[in-house]
Amino acid sequence: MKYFSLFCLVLLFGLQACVKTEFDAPPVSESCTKSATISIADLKASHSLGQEELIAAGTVITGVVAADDASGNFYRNIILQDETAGIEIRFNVTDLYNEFPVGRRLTITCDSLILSDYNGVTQVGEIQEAMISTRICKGEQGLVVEPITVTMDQLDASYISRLIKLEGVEFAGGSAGVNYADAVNLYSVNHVLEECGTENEMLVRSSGFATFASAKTPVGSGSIVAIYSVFGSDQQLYIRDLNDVDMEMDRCDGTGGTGLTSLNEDFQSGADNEDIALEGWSNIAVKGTRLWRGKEFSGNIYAQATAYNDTSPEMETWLITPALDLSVEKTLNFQSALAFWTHDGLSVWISTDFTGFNFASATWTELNCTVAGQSDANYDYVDSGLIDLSAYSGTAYIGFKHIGNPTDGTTSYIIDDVVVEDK
Amino acid sequence: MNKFYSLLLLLFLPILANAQLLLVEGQVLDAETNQPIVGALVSTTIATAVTDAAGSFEMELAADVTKIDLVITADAYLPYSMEVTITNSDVKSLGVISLSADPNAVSSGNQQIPTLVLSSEDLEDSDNRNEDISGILASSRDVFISTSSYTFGALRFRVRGYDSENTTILMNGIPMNELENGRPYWSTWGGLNDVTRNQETDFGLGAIEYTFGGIGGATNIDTRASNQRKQFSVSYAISNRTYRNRLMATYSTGLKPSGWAFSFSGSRRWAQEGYAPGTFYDAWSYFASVDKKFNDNHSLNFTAFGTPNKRGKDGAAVQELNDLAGTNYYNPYWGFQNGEKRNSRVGHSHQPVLMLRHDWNIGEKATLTNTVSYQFGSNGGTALDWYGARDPRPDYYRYLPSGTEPEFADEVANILANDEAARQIDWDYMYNVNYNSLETVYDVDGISGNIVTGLRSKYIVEDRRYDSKELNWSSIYSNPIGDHLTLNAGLSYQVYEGDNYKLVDDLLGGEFYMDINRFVQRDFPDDPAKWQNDLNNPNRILYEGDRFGYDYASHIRKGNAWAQGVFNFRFLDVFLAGEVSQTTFWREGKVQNGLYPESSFGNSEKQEFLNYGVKGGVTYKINSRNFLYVNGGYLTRAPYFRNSYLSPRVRDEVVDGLTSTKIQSVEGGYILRGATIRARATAYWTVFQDASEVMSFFNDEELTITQIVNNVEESFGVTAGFVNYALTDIDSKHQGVELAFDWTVAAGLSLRGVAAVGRYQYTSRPTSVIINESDPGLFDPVKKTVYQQNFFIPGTPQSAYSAGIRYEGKGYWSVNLNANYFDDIYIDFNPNRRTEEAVASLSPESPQFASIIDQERGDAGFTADFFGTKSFRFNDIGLYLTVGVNNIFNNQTIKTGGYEQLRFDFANQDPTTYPARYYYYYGRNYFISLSFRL
Repeated sequence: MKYFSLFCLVLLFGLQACVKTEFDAPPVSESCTKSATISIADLKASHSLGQEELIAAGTVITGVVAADDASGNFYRNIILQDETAGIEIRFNVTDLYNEFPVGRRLTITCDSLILSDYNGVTQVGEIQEAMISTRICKGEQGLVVEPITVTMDQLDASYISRLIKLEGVEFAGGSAGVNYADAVNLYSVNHVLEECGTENEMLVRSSGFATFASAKTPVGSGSIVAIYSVFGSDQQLYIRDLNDVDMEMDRCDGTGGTGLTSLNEDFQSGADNEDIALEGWSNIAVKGTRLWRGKEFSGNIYAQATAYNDTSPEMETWLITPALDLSVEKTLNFQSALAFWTHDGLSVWISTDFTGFNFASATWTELNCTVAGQSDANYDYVDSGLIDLSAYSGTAYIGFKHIGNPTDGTTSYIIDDVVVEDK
Repeated sequence: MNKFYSLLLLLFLPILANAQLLLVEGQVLDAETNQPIVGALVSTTIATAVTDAAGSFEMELAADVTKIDLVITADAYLPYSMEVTITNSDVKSLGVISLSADPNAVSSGNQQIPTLVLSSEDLEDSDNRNEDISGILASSRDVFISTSSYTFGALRFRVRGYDSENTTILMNGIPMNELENGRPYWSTWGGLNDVTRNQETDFGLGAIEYTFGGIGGATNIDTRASNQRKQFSVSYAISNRTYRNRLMATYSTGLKPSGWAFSFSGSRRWAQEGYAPGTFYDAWSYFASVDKKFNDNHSLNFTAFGTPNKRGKDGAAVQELNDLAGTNYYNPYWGFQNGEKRNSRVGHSHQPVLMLRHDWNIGEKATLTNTVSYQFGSNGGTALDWYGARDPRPDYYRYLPSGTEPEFADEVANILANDEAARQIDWDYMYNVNYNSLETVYDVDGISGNIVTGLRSKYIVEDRRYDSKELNWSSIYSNPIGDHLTLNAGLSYQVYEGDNYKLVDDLLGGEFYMDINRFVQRDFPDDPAKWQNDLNNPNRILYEGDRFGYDYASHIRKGNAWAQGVFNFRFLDVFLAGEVSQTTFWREGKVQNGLYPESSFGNSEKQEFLNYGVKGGVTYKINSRNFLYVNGGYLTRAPYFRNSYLSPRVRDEVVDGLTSTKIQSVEGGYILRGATIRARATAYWTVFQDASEVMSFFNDEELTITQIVNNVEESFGVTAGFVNYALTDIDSKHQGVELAFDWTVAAGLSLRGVAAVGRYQYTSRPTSVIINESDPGLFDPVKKTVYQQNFFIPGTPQSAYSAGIRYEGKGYWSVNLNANYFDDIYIDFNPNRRTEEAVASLSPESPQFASIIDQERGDAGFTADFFGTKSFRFNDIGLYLTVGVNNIFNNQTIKTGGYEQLRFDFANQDPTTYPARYYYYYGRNYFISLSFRL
């Protein structure tokens, strides 16, 4: 036992040595005290369009981030502005918003960076990853960047890369109520923005990589906040995200309102066995992967949802109408049918705060209506009755919700002839 | 199979034969203390025996011998040899033989061996392909093996170029090779040097008494307390290798008259920073063994041990960063946090082993050993994961001067060269990003209206776990029958369940993380179901300690039966051995993946393999000192779980044409066991066929694949993400010669030389399949032929030479000097670069073509090592000092290996876009140990 105690004693010595493997959380990075040597306007003025210039030693600018790449509409660049002007700062890295979010003051040492332009937009760059820590001094956060309210007539080169606000504007006919950009093929898309009461118009350009690319442009009029830019002789605007767009008023000509004044959808433009993809409509899989599909029977095309033979354990899919203008009281009517009843899976909902993009966060209220049920024969249409929507006002969307599963929720539900008209 | 059964029959037939035997017996004692020496090896040219707890041995010889040369060796004792003349009797008793302590021996055995320099990567990292088996072989008494493992181990020398799964390591008869990949993990008992010293090691294809073994041979470690040398010892060592300090204590009682024996051992090895920067090391070990000898026929042993350990890893680096850092030991895995070095890749494991062993002497000579064991615990390694933020790894190619806009390359190079923090991970940056990442998540856990707002971490540390549970049973039977035959046989059954998943280890200042796949989210932005790693818990919020990403079990069952007959005749030893095994494995998905809802969840189809092996050999004894031998074998081996599933993390699809590997091997040579010179010369030839391999890598750029379908060329991109890469039909050939001698020139002075000259090459053009985990549309993709025939097997010197001189002084000291030369070290290559697509439209004569295709060979290297010992004795207390210095001339430019990145820049066909990463041999390094024993 003597040796055993000794043995234990020796091992106790081993316990004493310390290998540090736990670490304190570092503090929030400190604010910057460095100051600018030149205003952004003066720096931009030192540039001759079409040239590339090395920025002189000792050049420091400071400003507040007016636009970042959080939504993906800006890529590898941010817009920095001071009281005099705004400028595009280019990087070779992505996800800059984590360090340089809108509202953060940055002081940038520009020595030997390159001042250049791209189709009329002056840029500073290109800051490489390793240069971030040596050149960018990160200051306070949460500063408010107020856009300058202007009219289209006022926008000239001095506003390039500044955050501006236009009031009394709307998306032109073909540009209203459509996707901001092409999220499938990842293409950027230009939309036309008109100024009410003038002949002025300019482009709103959005990237296919933007998180809001598949959201719908509003159909009403109102205001837009954006970074002003040019592409050669084209004037164009880049929004930072959808919060920059507030167009809920009637259109400029007083007609149209903020949504369709009537709807009569018979789905005949769809195709058999293809997911419904109607202009202005949303077709969303919440659970599982299946969507509402077009189905054809004797020349009639209708929308159908089913979990029959689904490989996902659960299915929930929504078919949502385009925006509806409820400024005049409306009614809803549609036809529903089912095939091979095993469960009740169809319900109808309305939302007045859905925007075509915010499905999960929007508020949905179920509408009381008649839909096909267990006692109905397969494929026999059941009339919904006239559903009064007068309890709702403003802009609204109607959603047809189907839930099911491949074991005991396999009923196929069908809808057709969705009609919204004045009460 | 018929052939196999008739072979088995052949094997057992000789049992019926009977012949006259001669029994040689004796007892081996310490000359000074008269205590029995346990585990001494008594060898003659035709048989060997090991002394038991009483120091006694018995050896059976064919009765027709008239004269034998007997050599007795034991750790820490001077060898003893005698010539025995046999008169006409059944029993030859040699009485007491006393051995003198070797004044230069430190404590014993492998403590004399300088600790092998292994990069910490070698220890437990299951991802690492360069496991080192030489440490295991260091205790071998074979002159080639013991010498080559001393001096070559540090260069990741693999004997005959074999991977470690070709060597079977057993402990008390239980196979310790990990069932998922076949590799033994020496670290399972790392730090227990004192109590794992009783090893039997057999190299190559020869007869083995305790297992059929792999073509590389086998080792059986005996942990019984009664076989541990009676001692209390403490040692402390300092080093500048993977650890800085080692404290070790062992207490063994030996077999007490009551029939009990106890043995305890414990150690700690630690370093705040090892040789490579940013690599901490903290490894503990504990061991307890209890024996109860009930009578001469029955004894029981219970052994329990474990080695909880944690260490910061060292990653292979691109040369560009090594050059910027001014050292070849640049380690990309660490960075400063609050001014302190923190490693992002922390490996850790603790897999305790419990064993119960029963030894039964049946009748006069037969023995039966039964062991059951249970091993369980955790195994893992951390890494960074991120979402919606830039790549935090400092060696990401776009952050290096070569990946930078040319006009800023100099500035970037300057920053990286002069600011250490800039070329390492920036922990403070990651924390600060997480501090600012306020986000609202909707429909949390798939519940409508369930909203969580908080700091969603953009960067986390994840812990990739491969825990396991394993229940084993083994039975080994040995029976010398008649004069000329010894029969050995064994059975074993193993049940294994691996638990593979990821944990959120550290949210780095954020409040939660989410269980969604960011690559799928990017590829299918409008389809949230697909993003889900766990469809049954969509949009799951994760906190520290939560499982996420993937979660599957690997189930493996393996049953094995083997038998061996060894026939000893006067001039000839012949043996024949056979093995049959049944392996069953399957994958059990614990979560349903959004991309693969049909193939990710539940039990997969079972994969079953019936395998067999046969081997045999003949040794011709020219006389008692000179032998010629030849051995050969053929065996099939079930594919390993790790090399069977295309994307095991997310689904259960197996590689196409999954089949057993076929191995043929022949070796033959000459052995000299003279009084002053020992030597061996061997030639070998081994062929592996139909092996498969699954690799995975993180691809951060788009990889364009071009294929020709119906004569139309189509290109498409494998988008960035986690990519799996499967190779099938891999054949290889290993051939070469091994030469070694150990010559005592004069009293105290000896010379040693060893040469291993091999050529290990691939001999087939395997088929490759690349699959992106986050894009199932790319499944059933292009199969490509990999033109790697005649490429060299990487990661080991194919030629290695060493010459050494040893002098033992009169005052209990010794010095050794070795000079070593290594050549033909090849860098692991990217199969994707050896395809038609990689060189499409290039002229085979162009330098660009060659730069894509050619395999990189490391430079030859020269090193010199010193090893010295000094011992003191004060009454019963022994004090032992050893000093080892490796790479005396501080050669820091020897590449011990490396690998090309698995990405390839198909667009520009430029192999330098993603350069290879290298490991370098440590510069001058030392190990100094002081121990005392009583």
